[in-house]
Amino acid sequence: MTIGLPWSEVLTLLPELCLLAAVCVALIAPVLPPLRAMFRASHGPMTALAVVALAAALLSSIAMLGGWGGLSAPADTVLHGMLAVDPFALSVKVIIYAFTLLVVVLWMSTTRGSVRIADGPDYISLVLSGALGMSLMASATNLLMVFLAIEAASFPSYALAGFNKQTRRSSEASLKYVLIGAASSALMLYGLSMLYGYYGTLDLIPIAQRLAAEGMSAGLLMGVFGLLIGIGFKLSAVPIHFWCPDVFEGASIEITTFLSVASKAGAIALLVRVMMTLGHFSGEETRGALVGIGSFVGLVGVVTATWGNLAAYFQTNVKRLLAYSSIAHAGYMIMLAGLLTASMDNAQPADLAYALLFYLIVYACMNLGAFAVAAVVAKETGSESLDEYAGLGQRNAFLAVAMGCFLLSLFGMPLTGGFWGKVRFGFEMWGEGMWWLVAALVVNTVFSLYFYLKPIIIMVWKQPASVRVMSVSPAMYGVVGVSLLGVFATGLLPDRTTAWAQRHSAMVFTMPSQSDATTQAVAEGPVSSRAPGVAEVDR
Amino acid sequence: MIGLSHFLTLSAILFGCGVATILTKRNAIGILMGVELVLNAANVNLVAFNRFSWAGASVAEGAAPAVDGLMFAMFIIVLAAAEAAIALAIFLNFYNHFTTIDIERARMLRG
Repeated sequence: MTIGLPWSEVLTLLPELCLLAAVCVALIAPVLPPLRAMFRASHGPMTALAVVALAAALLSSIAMLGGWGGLSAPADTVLHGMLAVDPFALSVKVIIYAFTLLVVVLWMSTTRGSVRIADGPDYISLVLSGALGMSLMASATNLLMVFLAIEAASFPSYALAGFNKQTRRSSEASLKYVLIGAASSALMLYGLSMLYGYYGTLDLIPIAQRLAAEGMSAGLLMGVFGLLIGIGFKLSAVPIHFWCPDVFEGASIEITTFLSVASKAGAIALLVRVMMTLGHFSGEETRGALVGIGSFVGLVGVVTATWGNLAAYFQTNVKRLLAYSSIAHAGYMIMLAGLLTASMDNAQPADLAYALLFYLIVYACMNLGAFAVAAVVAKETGSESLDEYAGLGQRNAFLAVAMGCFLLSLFGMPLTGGFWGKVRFGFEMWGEGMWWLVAALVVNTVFSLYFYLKPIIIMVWKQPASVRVMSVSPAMYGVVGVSLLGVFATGLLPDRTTAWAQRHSAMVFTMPSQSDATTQAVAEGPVSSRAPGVAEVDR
Repeated sequence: MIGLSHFLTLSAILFGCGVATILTKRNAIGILMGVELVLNAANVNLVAFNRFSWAGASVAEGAAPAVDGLMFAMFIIVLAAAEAAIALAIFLNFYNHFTTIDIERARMLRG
């Protein structure tokens, strides 16, 4: 093993480096005497810096995904097995960066006034470093990196949840968030230390290979359980979900939006990667245990989705309603992640990462749209209560129609992306013979109809207190428009989105050209990939 | 002679104390101290496993002694400090609003 790092490996982290550079600039530039006046005058320069950094990260990850400009996704893990910059990770990063970019636009045109100009640099550096941590979560293949990525995503989130120091709600939300986060990350670390003790390595792939060769052990179960606690906290899985509605209600609305999608996208990508790795390298004697772990994860998903949908019934605050809705959607995604190893009929995890990518795209669009409309309404009326939606159609027809579309898509109405996301999930679950997951998905979708319809009913039938026309800035029309476009593009052209997701769901160990280091130990056991268009890893 | 099992017992005791502290304390700083105990239990595990199980194994294979566990422990120490800094800032902010850091008082957001 060489000690030095080739530049080609460093270049694969170009998106993260863009964000890191912007974080450094945001922290240092405002204290440099020549620039201080500029950053003290308005939020403009900081917002521009964030937009440029996120756009650069987005473009470089798209370029790597498409293989443009000499960039490409490496066929092996980089930085001595710390990170996998494979198409799956890059696709999730594209979603995270595009989403964060739109969240910054949302912040710019709604709630920016509530942040003092002197705090602008801190705010932007926290958002960017949060996005950096979340994108690392999508790439991590080493337990140390998993820990660092989860903490790098969590620490800025704690601070952002309490960023508005004037409000009591915000301080309470961040207190709950940091305590639950610290406790769950400590429990996760204890599990990870057990994994290290049993396997002597922190790399996920060798651990999975050793597991296949040596069978299950108590240490592995403790380790996987710890890992699930850490990821489950980020995903707000039951029973560590209760921070989610409180933080979503207490935090400023753009932070709520950011946490609801970007943070969960990174966490679900990490969960899928762990499950895929464990399943991909499994052997005969470990299959039963992996099916058990997968079924457990699937069950957690079912409980999470059901809990989210039931608790959403009684909500009167739109952010809280959307928080429970996001818990339910995280539950659906956890169900799919469980499916990866719950149904290993030929000792191979089903290749379902594409369905998850599809769902993440749809989920990002519809959640962003719903929160954007909620942000505009909250800004105009000064309240987040559902009653403010009365007569929204008379005050701004576009917002009302858009909100209706987002809510119906979250429910899973045909013609919208949400429908096809759930159909893909249900189809794959049925195909793998997991009828109980299909049943849970269908029952939950029916449950959720009521609370998604509630705001629509209020919008249509309830008489508003005033019919003052709501003014919306062009940037907000842009954000809502992009989300609508996403919801209907995935809803009306589901096959093209699916094809895109299938082309970009390969992980490092299912990719055709592997370096020798990772494949040598795969020699024992039949290893084949069922991914369409992916060559078999044939030894 | 003191071996791996002694260290693992120590870490299990630390872990148990930490979890008990997290579950029973009502003071936010008390909970944070419980978290630190659990983190240090993980640290003891990592360092002991590294010393007794894996450093010698990699020397026997002709490689340099493995330091993965030591490195992990270093990162945990650094991040625990960062976490404490953020958590204490948040507690201070909470105190400014509620004049207490008793988590029983954090009851505004419910439902």
